[in-house]
Formats: sequence, C-alpha cells, structure tokens
Amino acid sequence: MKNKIIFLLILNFGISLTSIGQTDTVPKKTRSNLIDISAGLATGSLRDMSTSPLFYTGLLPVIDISYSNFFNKNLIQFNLSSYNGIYIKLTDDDSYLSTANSINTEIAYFRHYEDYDETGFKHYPGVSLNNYTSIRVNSAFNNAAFAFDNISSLNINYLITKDFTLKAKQKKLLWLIKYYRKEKQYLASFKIGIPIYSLIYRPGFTNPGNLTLNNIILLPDYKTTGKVFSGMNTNLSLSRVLENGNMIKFTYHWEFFTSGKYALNRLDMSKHALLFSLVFKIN
Amino acid sequence: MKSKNIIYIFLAVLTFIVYFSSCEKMAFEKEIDNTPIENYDYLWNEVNEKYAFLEYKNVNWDSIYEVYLPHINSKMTNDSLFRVLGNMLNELRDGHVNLFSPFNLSRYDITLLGPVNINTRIIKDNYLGTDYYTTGSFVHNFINNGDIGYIRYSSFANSLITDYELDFILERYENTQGLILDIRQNGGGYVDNVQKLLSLFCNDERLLYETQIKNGPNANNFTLLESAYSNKTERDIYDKKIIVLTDRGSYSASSFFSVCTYAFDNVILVGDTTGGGLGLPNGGQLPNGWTYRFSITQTIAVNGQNYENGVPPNHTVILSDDAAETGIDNVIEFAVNLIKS
Repeated sequence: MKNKIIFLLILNFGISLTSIGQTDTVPKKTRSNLIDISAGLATGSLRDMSTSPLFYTGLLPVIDISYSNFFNKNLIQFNLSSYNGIYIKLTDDDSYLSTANSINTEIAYFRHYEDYDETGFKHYPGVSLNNYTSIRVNSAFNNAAFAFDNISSLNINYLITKDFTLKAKQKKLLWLIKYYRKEKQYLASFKIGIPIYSLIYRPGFTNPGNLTLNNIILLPDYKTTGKVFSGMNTNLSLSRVLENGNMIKFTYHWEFFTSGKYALNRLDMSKHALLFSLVFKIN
Repeated sequence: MKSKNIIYIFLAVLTFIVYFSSCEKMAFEKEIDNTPIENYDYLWNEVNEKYAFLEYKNVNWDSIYEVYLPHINSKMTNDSLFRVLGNMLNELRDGHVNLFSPFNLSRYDITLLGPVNINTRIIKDNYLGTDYYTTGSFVHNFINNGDIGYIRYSSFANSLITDYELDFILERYENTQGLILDIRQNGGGYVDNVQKLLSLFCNDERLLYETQIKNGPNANNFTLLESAYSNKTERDIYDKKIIVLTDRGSYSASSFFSVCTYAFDNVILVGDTTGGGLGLPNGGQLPNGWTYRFSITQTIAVNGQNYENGVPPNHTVILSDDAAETGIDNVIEFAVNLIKS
C-alpha cells in the first residue's frame, strides 16, 4: 500500500500518457539547451465506454512546448502539450459532437548509448513519467455530458537520431532552371515509447457519479485503476539545422492508448499529429 | 552513409509507423455492429446492470427481454426499432427514462398517474391578480388580504436561483403569517436549485436525505448510503409556516425538494403525491447513435422511506371541480386555513 502511494505521488508529479512533438532532436555537440515551440493538427479516434460504444473522430489543433537539456551523455526533456478541438460521430441519421481539451505533461530522461555510434546512428534509451488530463463535454449525454480522464504513466523509451548533410551542388529545377543548392544539415530522429504501467483515473461504474449529494465533490465516484502496457507512442521527425544552431522541424506523432479489454468503462484512443516546430538553441 | 540512404531509411520508418498505426484498431475492441438486435441487447444490458430500481419496482427485466425480443428483426425500420425500445423502457414506469432519436423521444408520462391538481387560470384570476411580481423564476403576490405570501415556482430548470431573488422575497413577505410555495406541475430541473430554495427557510446544517449509487452489475449492487445535508449559511430565513403544494406533475427536483421538507417542522406538504423521480438519471448512447437516460441512484428520506414512486403529502387535497367552477382553488384554500390555524 505504501509503495502504491509513493508510486502515485511520483506519477502525479507531472506527467503524461503520451508526450507529443517533444524535442527528440539532439544537437550534434554535447551540452546544449533547446526550446521547441510547435503547432500542428491532430486527428484520431476515441471511444469512452462509460457513455458510448462508438468511436468518435477527433480534430484537434495542437500546441506543444518543450525544453531539452543535453549534457555529457544525458538528455533531460520537459514537455507540455495541449490539444483543444472536437470529437465528432456521424451516424446514419444524425451527428454527435463533443468538445475536447487536454493537457499532456512529461519529464523524460535519455542516456546516450555510444556503442553503436560508428553506424552513424545515435541511440538513447530512456524513461519518462507523464500525465494526460482531458476534459470532454458531449451535451447529448445529459447528466453524463462531462467526462474527465487523468492518466499517469511510467514509460520506457528509445530514441534514435541521425544527422546528415546534403552537400552543396549545382541543380536544375524541372530539368530547366539552374540553381545552386547550399550545403544543408539535417537531423532525423525516431522515438518509440511504451507505457509500462499506467494509473487511470476515470468514472466508476456509472457516469455521472452521485450528483445528488449536496456536499458535492468535484468528481464523485471516480476510480483509479492500474494497467500494464497500455499502448504505444512514436515520434518521427526531420529537422533542418540552421547555421546558428536553431532548427526547423517537422514531426509526425502517433500514439494509442487502451485501458484494456476488461477495464471498467473501457477507454480507447489514438492520435495522429503533424507538427511544425521552431527549435531555438538558447546556449 | 549517403544522404539518399538517410531519406530511404526515413521513409521506411514512416511506412513502418503508418503500417503500425493502422493496426491500432487491433488493440481496440471492435465497434459493436449497428443492427437492431445489437442495439436491443446493448440497451437491455445497460439497464440490466445500471438501472437503480429494478428490485425496488419489482421489475423482472429478464422476462421483459423475452417479451420484446420477438419484435426485433434485421429488416425492421428505425421507427419500428424505436417503438420497441421505447416500449421496453416504459416497462420501468419511470419519468427519468427516455430514449432520444432524431425523429422521436420516448417517455413515460408520470403526470398521467394523477389529476392535474392546478388550474393556472384560476390562480391568475383570483390569487395572483394582475399586479403580481416576477422575480427570477418566481411569480408571487400577497393573498388573503396581505396575510399570506403566495409563490408560484413552476420549474427548477428555468434558471439558477440567486441570493438576491430569495432576499427580495424574504423581505417582501417578512410580515406575513405564512407562505404558500406552489410547485404543482413543476417537472424538475437543476438539483442545485433544490438546495438554494431550501435556504429560504433553512440556514443550518441538517440531514435532508440519504443517497446511494449503483456500483456493480447486480440489481442490489449499491454504494453505502451517504448523507446529504443542507448548507449552513448566515442568511436570514423565513421561520413561519410554509405550505408546499404538490401534485403528480411535481417531478424529479420537485420530489427532491418535497422529500427535503420532511426535515422541517414548519414546512407542510399539501396536495397530491408527487410524481417521484428521486433517482439521478445518467446518459449514454446506443450503437446506432441514439441516446438514452435512466436513473442510477436511490434516495432515502429522513424517515427511512424510498419515495421513488412519489412523495406523499402531509395532507392530501385534490382540486375540486365544483370549487374550480366558482373560481376557487381548494388546495390553496386548504393551505390558507392551515396557516391561519
């Protein structure tokens, strides 16, 4: 019990199910601080069995900010991302809409594993703690219109990066127009994360809880459950490294989560996000 | 490594992710088929596991499944399916049970269980008069030569009651001998308004009722009873007699309010038994998108009784046709006499 409480406290320190668009770009040289400001659009599906057996399709603008500190062989990242949009379900004769607002926070640690550096790829195994908090409102569900989810996860991650250079050369556009392409530096990275244990705070057997109590608590009759291996998340990004060390980055992020086949009021969700980022080297 | 190779690797990883992500549905349970039988089963099962009054109302839900199952077939129209599902739900005899579709709303009309115990025209003509006040959702005026305040509150759903509104009413009627609060045909609304309206005559913390919620699939799976108390405030209150008028159309929040009055000696219920509806309705959706609601909590009055089927008045008074013909509301007259006695 004591261990469980400690684990809960650690997980709730600020942490998210899935971090997205995080700065998995690692500078070529050691010791560096980066701030990554991203914006993009996510789509995906969501099913909350506490109210509906249907998958809703989401359209969620994303804003993401992260800070990365790379020193010696260590990489520490803090990430905050926000999704605010809608989930919609079209049926044969009607449409149903839910607003959705969520915040993800993550703290991650990676360690540079140098044994395979000669291959040109840098390997960074790591761990992270993250927290996903979501509020959805679907007025069609009457007293169950309000839905709140909080999921804290301990993840194992693996990050691989590769920097490469496109040499300067004379080129032709459409085989006609000659132009000179300057040398360009790029950084490609791929990160995969697996939540090995998640604490899921969701409605209990019924949704809503007992709202007829006058001494109302915010989320009555919510329950916390645990889940091993609740999903997966990946980030694939390509960054153009500018001469001053700043970067322009494009990221494709994918994640899915499930509270499990036997979970009470099962929750399934996935997201696909495309992000454009400006990465600033701050020292 | 050549830059071309990097691009190839990048594309390979992207392909891998796209392929992998297409498999995410494998981790998710398949969406339930939108067929009449799947919708029927889903709704039946939701009620079976979560409805709070199967035992209390002595409903044999298993046999009801068998009764309506023959009416389900794969070629039936949406309208036919709606009628079967709606009729099945109406077996619960509960005004808080509804099925919502784009073309219809199923309901169990609780008001038909008793007479409409009010004639609003008589009240306007002979009690409220033409100079009545409208304060928020309250319509009110002096009656009986100014000795009594009459307050008509027709819905708990119009707006949230404010302190200002209550203070105004309190001040206006502070010198009366008693108040008549008329919630006949008040179909309910915001539960928050129940607590607020109670603060008209209550500023201390006292037990109002106990409540429990379904916490498991069996009919008797409930949480332990939890107590609901009134809010302790510094507000002035009306501490003289208050007569609350009810009828079968006083439903849901009106029944909650009526149950709460059992905790006050100076508050008396007069009229007909309320419609009940003391369970909090949930909300949910069927595989075809239609939505539904039904009750998931039980409420126990301070006297230990479950009045889901209606809160009985302290004095039963039914509106008399004879009296009504002469422009008299005998329910109000009874209340006036009670205050005067």
